[in-house]
Amino acid sequence: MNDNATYYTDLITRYFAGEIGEDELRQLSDWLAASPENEKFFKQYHKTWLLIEKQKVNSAIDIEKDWNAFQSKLNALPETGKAPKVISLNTNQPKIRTPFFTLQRVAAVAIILVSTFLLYFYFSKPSEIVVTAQADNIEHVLPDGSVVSLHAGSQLTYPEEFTSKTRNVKLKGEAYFKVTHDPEKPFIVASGDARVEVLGTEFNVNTSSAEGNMEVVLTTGKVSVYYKEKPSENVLLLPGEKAELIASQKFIRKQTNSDPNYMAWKTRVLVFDDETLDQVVKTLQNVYRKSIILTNDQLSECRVTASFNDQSLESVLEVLKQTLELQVQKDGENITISGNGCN
Amino acid sequence: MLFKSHFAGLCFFAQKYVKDFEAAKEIVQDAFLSLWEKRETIDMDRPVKSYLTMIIHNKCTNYLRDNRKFDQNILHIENLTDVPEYEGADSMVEEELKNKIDTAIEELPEKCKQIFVMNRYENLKYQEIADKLQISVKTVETQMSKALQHMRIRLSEYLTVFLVMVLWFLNR
Repeated sequence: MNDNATYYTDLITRYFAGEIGEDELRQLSDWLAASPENEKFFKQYHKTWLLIEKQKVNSAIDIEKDWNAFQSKLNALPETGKAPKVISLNTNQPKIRTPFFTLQRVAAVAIILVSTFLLYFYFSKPSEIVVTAQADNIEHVLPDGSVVSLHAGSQLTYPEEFTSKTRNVKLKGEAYFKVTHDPEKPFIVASGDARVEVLGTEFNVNTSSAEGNMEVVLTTGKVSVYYKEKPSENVLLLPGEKAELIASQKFIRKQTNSDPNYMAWKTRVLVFDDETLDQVVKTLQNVYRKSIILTNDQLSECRVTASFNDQSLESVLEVLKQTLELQVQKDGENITISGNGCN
Repeated sequence: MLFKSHFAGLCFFAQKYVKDFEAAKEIVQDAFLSLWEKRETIDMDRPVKSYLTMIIHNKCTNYLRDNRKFDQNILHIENLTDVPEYEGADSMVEEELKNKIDTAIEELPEKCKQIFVMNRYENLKYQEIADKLQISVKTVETQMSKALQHMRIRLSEYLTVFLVMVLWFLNR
């Protein structure tokens, strides 16, 4: 993304310097048509360039010199034998004091005001901040005081300041939100077309499930979940409830949250109460972000009752190994578990 | 005098299209020449300014087409597809703008500043600058980009203040 920005900034500069080539021109044109963001970006540079050029033209023109140059060209014209004299064209029109003229003035002022406002907003719109959690979880404070914990590998985009009527953020991955209460300004988490709207509350959003589906689990407070095209078909969550958003059908399913470990990625507290090994492995994969594979189906039926408090993946696997007589093989980022099954 | 009062403004107008100052000046001069040649036949009641801008607009688009630099889409974004209203000089803020721009240019790192000035104020092409300074065209390109980015940031602040001033002024 950064590379792209540099590439197109260079291209735009070349365009204004008059250095752009034919293919590049087409590239620029396509890129500008591709998104309004690009167009806005271009327009900022355009306005800057115009300011510079205007001032340059005013100072670079030595009017006497240019007039003389023009006169010589005039003399070089075939038909003209006359000496150049003041062209008797009526440039100073008498000021017609009619209502129409006043209207023109008013219209001109109106246009100046409108374009002034537009330009002002062009330049003063808060810029966007992108926070990415790489290998570790990150905690980040948003401009309104809300705290977001980003699961490793997730990304949050939000504006420098929450100036519009709602507090809008975009999420890719998984995050836990502690939103400050503001009844005047709903806090909205967006992921694709889905929206999670809250007034002040704590909840977990997971956008990283397989088919592009999303899961929201509410800890405290109240949350409204909907697709942006149909905000009236929203699902209200109460604490302890989970909403599952099926992207393919834009369908939202509500259920009581049965997974005590939905926040384990953040708290590092794991509780398994007669859970299948299959489920345990899924949870471990989510929390520790490593790929774990069970080599035979019988293993998935094994039951696990254990709790772990801030343990490393290795410790957890050690315990499981002992308890269920498993073999654990590590191969870079991939972990394979094999065994004879339980009975 | 017609020429003297409108020449600079019309050059700016042409420059918006062709992005080559020398070419812009030539186009404007040619437009005045056309005007002179047709002085017997043109309609004196129509404002001369708009006649000139029409001619210049046509010459500019021809220039762009001839040099394979014509793109309808981009021109539309720059608001140059129709003939925009020719604006007069705005002396109230000119002085301030000039100072702001000069200051912003002074802030550029040495090499960057030099390259920027050579391109914008001496009207040298990238290749000419590269040859003169014994550097690669790519370097010129990168420095120009950096310069323009810097100018954008410095002038955007200015623009906000300017607009507030205009609003205040109009409200009096």
